[in-house]
Amino acid sequence: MQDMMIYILKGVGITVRLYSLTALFSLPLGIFMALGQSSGSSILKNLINTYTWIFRGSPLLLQLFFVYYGLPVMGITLGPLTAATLTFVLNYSAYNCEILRGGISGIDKGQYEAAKVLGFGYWQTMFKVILPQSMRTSLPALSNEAIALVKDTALVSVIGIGEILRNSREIVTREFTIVPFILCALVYLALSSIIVITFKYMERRVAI
Amino acid sequence: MLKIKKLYKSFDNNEVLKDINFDVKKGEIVSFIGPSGSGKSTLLRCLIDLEEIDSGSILVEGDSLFDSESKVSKENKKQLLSQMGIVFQSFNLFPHMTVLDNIVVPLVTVDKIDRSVAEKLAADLLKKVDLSEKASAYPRELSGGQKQRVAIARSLAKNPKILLFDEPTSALDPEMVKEVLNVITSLKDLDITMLIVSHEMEFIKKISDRVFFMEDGMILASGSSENIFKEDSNNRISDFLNCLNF
Repeated sequence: MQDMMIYILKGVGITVRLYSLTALFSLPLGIFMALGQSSGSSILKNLINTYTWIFRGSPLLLQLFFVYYGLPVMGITLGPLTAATLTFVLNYSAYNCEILRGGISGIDKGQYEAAKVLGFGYWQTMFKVILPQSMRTSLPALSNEAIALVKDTALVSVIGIGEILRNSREIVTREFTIVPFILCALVYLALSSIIVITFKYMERRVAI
Repeated sequence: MLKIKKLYKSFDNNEVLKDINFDVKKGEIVSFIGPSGSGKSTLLRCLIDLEEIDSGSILVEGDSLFDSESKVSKENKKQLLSQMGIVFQSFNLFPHMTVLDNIVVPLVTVDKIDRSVAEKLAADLLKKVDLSEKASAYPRELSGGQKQRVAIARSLAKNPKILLFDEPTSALDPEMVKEVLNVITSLKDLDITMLIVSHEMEFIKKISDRVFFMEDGMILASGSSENIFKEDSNNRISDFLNCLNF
């Protein structure tokens, strides 16, 4: 049992690494795309709309296969973890963009007007006034995405990355017991709980 | 100080300001009264570039802020607008910032003032509006009257030459109206040119040097406070004031 747990927990490192890198890059990318969508440029808006349409409208697993198995056909070969990280960042930034765009559009017009009469420029208004508020109002939706990301990391097992689920399945196959699956579920629940608690704390701290 | 000539403004086919002409002297307090929808707030919003005018001109100290006949440089416009402030009906404080930061952040961000200097200035202004003890509070922790006093302090931080008040007490409970009006009255000594839109007739009568009565997008009458509020000044004004039980 202890050996099982140790082997499963070895996969946590990969999961956490994939999770952290995705969160680290997909949030800023989502923010910039959301700002682009809220800008006056119709070309930029159309580009971002197409991007989010593709990445939100097709399965994450298909995107992962495309990046890992498809790109080598075009001469771009990526390692499994790099391919997985790239896919997750591209996919989650599309979702984060839409969440934040909704948050930005929900900000009262009076906030823009106050910023304007105080002399703020466009970017100053967005970064000092609008984004801090829309980030706060978007936190519950971002929290859902953060939890979904924990679970989605299990998808990378299909391209041979030894994360929590793959390690559990290996033990199940080897030892004919479902205990690893139960342990695996407990690990995912623990990780999700950490995310939930962290976001609840943040929501309380930054409530407007 | 301020000169408005032949100002017109429409929303789609609805003409909300028609042939507005008036001058305001430096330090003068001018108020606009009239029924809802008469164009008072739109006029203030046009003056501070929150609405684009269709035609006409606005001059601040002789310099063109807007002119439908000739192009005004962005820099000139920005410089003139920096001398103006507005207090909104709905306060429009930044809810994610403390009371102090609502005043400090614009000074640091826009005017590039050193934070410690801005904090000192903000503390002085909060003292002036009697809210020193609320410096570290967030807007959600304040009453409506307190929020409006912070909004006034924030506008004053820019050291404006012209300050506009767009129904500053309309969103307040009756008991909070007085505290805001007292603060506005106290600004009389600062020699700021003030343009006020309000339905608080007693206050308007007391504070204004001149009063404009607007209806249907036009200035129907103007004059000193005493003249406008005289019973026989104008039938339409008398009807309006009667409706307000004034």
